[in-house]
Amino acid sequence: MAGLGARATRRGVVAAALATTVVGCSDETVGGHPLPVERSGSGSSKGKPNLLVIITDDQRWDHFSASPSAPKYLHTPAIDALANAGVRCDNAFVTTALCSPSRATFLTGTYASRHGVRNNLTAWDPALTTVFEPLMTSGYDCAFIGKWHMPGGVPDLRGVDRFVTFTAQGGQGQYFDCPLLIDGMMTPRPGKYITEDLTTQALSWLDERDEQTPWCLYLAHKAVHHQFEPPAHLLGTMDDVDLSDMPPEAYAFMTTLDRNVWEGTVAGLERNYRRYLETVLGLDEQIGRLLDSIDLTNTYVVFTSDNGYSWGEHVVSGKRWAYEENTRVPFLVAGPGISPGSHDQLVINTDLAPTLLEWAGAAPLPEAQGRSLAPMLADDSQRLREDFMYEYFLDFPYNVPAMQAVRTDDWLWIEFDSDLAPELYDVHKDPHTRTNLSASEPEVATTLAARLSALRADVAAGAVV
Amino acid sequence: MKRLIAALLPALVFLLGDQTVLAFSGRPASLGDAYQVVLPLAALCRYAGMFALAGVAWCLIRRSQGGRWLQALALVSGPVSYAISASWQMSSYFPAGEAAYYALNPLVIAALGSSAAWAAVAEMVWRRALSWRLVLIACLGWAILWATVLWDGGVHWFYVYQIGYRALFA
Repeated sequence: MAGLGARATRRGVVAAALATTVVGCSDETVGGHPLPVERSGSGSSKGKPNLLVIITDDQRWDHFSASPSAPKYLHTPAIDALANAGVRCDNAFVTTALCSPSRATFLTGTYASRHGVRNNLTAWDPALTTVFEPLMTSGYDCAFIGKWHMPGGVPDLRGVDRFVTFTAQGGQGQYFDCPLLIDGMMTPRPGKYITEDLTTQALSWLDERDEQTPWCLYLAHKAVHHQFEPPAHLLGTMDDVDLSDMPPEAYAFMTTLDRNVWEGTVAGLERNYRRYLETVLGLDEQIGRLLDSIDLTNTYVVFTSDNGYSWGEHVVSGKRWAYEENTRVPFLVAGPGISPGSHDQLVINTDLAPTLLEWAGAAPLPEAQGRSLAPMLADDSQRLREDFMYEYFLDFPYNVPAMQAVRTDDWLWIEFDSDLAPELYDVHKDPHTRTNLSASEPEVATTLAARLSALRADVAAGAVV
Repeated sequence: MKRLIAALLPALVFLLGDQTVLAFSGRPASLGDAYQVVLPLAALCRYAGMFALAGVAWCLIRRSQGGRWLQALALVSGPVSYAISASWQMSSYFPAGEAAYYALNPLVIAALGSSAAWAAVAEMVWRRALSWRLVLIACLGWAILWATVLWDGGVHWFYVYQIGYRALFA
């Protein structure tokens, strides 16, 4: 254990004192310029499919109405239409259930322990190669629009023609009047609601495209992250919904206990959840607005989220843990040649970049640790993986231990970097992971502990897992 | 002794709630139907001790003619007991310095502001007279509460707190 004196500097103490006496947030280094790279493959790019990636924030896997586990009071017709037009991956997960690490994983195809954005405080390394560079090299126009939210300031982003993001509230953005950093220019947006504004930015960029050049649009919404603020016309629409199906361990006022840091969530659990549902509805409206302009005969669409969210399960109002509500995300794929249906194979966020690059016929990212989903989507019998590793690193001030886990089709095994005992769950019999079987299933526990150890080594070595 | 207990009333109520939460939170089977009553009440006890009971303690100290040290103890015992409890729990996972910095978290600042405000109100009640100085203290205390945890759910001050963390430990 390192003491204060060992870790803190005099300058740091002065800076901290100043920081805590001045209300406001620094924007760190603001870049935000698009840095296109040379398109060496433009002559052969005709006929390539377009790519649309929609990443939402904190949207758990069961919070769209086409999900088999969706709450009965939630109706999301636009997201459902996408699910019905393509494949719904019902066993999709993130390898770290936290905004910044998960976003870096989507962009690079690597685990947090490899790309280095381990929590919401560790900086993005501008030298990292994202999926955009090989896409643009192979002839694509590319745009990143939405939430960047990785520490270290907004970089200038290689491989995109358009870069729209925001820096308000530490990069989390705000639902109303959120200034946008558009190609490096900070632009006030008075009167705008962010989900609608980002969708307008996306549609505007699509309107500028010529039909000959394939494009990749990466739209990362702030919604449905806290402070859970729906558009005005939806505020209060969930006030009368019966929430008697909330988890039995949840109770009023648990949101401000120290396991659930009070950042933007100081209100009762049910109040927050109703606003969350309304924010999902607002998101759905804008998804519909965007998808109305998309031709699925030549465009692959992926819809997913950076992580899930617990609404009272395990007395958590938040994410970070290896439990299903935190790690499991919606994952919908539609596009040319994809037959409607559903899959139950284990899909993880490292798979996105390799999949996009295979669809585009672009060079793979050499560091990527995920697998392309294209073979599985074309042929259901193609087995993707048997298991994957989950990792979480300390993230001050969240009172959550560092942990690693292995998730198979049937089991979840969690080991903590603390004196907490390991946990084992049968995810089929116990989908809300309430009964720890580590003592009653010692053989399974031993097997999975060994498997986790092997996965740790593989991930650290940069292997595809 | 009675005066000391009065000064520690916010801390005692906080600890009662805190220990009940620690013992039963997440274990609905252990309390049955009472779970949905006991846990919210325990959480309310935590908050009452942290944010409000300084006013009651202040009145009790004044009634028993306690001195300034006891008044000061009445003011801070709730917020400080939370700060110690929360930092202790954080030290399970985080290094000592970071756990200590947790004792400056927005809830602690808000609790100190709110406790000062209620103590100022209690003093006016005790005197049965308005005092502009005490009104100012009360307004300032509640302004601190609002700025640190109630304004947009506490998100703004949270980032200031995080800037301090990065400056010290990153």
